[in-house]
Amino acid sequence: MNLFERILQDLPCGCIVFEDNGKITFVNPTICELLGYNVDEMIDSGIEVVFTISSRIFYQTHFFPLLKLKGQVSEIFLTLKPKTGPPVPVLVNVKLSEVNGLVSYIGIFTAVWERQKYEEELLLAKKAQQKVLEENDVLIQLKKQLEIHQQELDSKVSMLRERTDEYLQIGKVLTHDMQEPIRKIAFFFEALVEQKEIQQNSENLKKVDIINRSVTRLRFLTNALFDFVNHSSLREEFTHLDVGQLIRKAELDVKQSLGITGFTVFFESIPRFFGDAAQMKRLFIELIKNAVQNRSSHQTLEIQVNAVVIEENIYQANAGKYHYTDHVKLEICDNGIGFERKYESYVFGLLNKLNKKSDGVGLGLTLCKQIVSNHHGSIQIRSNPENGTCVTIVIPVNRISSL
Amino acid sequence: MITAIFIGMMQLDGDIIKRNNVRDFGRGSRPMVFAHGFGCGQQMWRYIWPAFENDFRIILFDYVGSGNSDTSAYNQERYGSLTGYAQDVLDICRALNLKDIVFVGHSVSGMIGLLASIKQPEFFESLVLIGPSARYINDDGYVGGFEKTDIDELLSTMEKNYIGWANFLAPVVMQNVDRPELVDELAESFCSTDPLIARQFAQVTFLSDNRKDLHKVRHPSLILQCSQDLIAPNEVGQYLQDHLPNSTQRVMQATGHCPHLSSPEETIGLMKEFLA
Repeated sequence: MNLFERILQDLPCGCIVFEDNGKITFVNPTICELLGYNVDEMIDSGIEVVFTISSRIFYQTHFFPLLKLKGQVSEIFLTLKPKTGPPVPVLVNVKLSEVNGLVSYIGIFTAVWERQKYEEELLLAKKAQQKVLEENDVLIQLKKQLEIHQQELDSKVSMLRERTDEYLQIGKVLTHDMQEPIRKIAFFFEALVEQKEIQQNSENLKKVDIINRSVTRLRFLTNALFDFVNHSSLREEFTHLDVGQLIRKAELDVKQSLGITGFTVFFESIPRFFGDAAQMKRLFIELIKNAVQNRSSHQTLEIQVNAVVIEENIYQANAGKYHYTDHVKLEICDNGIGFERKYESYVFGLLNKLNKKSDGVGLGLTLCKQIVSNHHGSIQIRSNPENGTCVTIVIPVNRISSL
Repeated sequence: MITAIFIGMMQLDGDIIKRNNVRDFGRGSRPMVFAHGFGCGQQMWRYIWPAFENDFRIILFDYVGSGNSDTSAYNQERYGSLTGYAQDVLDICRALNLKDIVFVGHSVSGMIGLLASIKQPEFFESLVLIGPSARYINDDGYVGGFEKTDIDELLSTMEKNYIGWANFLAPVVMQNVDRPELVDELAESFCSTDPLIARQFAQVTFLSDNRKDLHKVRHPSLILQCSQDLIAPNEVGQYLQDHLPNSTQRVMQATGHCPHLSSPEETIGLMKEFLA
């Protein structure tokens, strides 16, 4: 045995040499003694066998990538697993080298029994201190946030109250104050039309026709707006909805009311979510109606509804707050005429309508948006003239207050 | 008014680029997004992306809290769930206006990518999952490879390595740099620098259970399963292949959990086969 072999033999730390694939090619007596293996047992096995499971994870997620990219890793704490007995805490240094022309890593392992005790004490103290600090920080932070949120909430609630009052007043104006004069105009207009002087003049008849159509339109519009205002102040009990059934009912309603039956709504099982059955049915009616009114003349209308449960942040307005809960994402897609992308937000606006030929007044999607927002959800529309229209609705599965 | 909103959006996008330390380069138009796993940052992909930069648009990034991301953007509530990490991926896709991406995710990023693809399928074309696992902890007949106590010990091992051994957190100095894109990496720290963030990421990763989400995936995926991978053992890969629709599994000769570091050629070869 020459001097170098002698030194290696008696080195007061464990030494393991392993290849790129983890295969052990050399061990010194100290590491064998530390782990209770003999040399033959260790040679050719993988480096990971000497680690505890947790150290193996750390080896794979941190140690090995670092070694691979840097060529050397120093002073890492790991735990070795001896053949028998308790795990051995060690400090590890590993360096990239070449042994017999092969890429090899030379590692030394120093047991740190005493140092570990010291560090454990240190960690305990540090953790205790950190906990107190964190709790304190969190409390201060929370107090500040609470104060700000209370103020915001207060101003929003009072604003909302005013808006709701205004809204209901407008509703009242529409229901009574506007319908009455319209009714009067229609009544006296009819009386006027019956007069002979008007009947005999063809120029007059043209004007009569225009006035007549305008009155009808005005009446239609007021009724639609009344329906809109009325619907949004209506609240039923929230229940777990059988969405499939609601879609079928909505489909039937549309077929009956429009007298158009040549289309089908396709869907597979749709997960239940918490909502107002009447409102959700109305939403599906509006969406199916839109699809029917904007169907293509070249192909049979098909409406496909897909649903998937995803996690979404329940906080919508509060930046920096996150609470992920299950939401149902519904996609309602048709193969209709679609519209240009630039109108994707326009179509949600009150009385905005793109299809001038349809009978609607431009309230359907506004109503849908309101219904979805009543359900604490979000709605988006994507469309293009080639592929038709897709409406995406995301609604929480459970009631907000029962989080 | 419209201009104001527009500028607002632009700033937001710029923020995300900075927040996630996004690098966007390559000579192709088909986007390939590389997502690192728990433990390290985007440097993990150093041996892989050069093989694709001629044909793809390469996007590298760090999750918030990892690598060289903006740690001040870390939010305990958001990143207390893999969905928060998936949101990082979706934010980047939106900010760069990406479509039909090839998503390459290592380890936990496999599940993060799947979650993102379920939420917004329109961003995705296909997924390459390297050493993925739908659940790490054994559970009533399911073999994940670990017990809860193993994970607790891992957290303690991590803590002990964060006591103050500066070497571990020190900037990585790269050898033989001959690529200008990489020069910036010189000053980067390699692994997550904040022990609290690293701890939470470990918890979120190893305690997650995404078995219930697999059936919702629509895109084709490639599962690269290493031989003798302790973190994602064969049973885990098999489970994924059985439950992930439209997936192809390839068992690699590479051992360990990081074939993109230990066997880049084999990894690249299998990716190219899948993408051809």
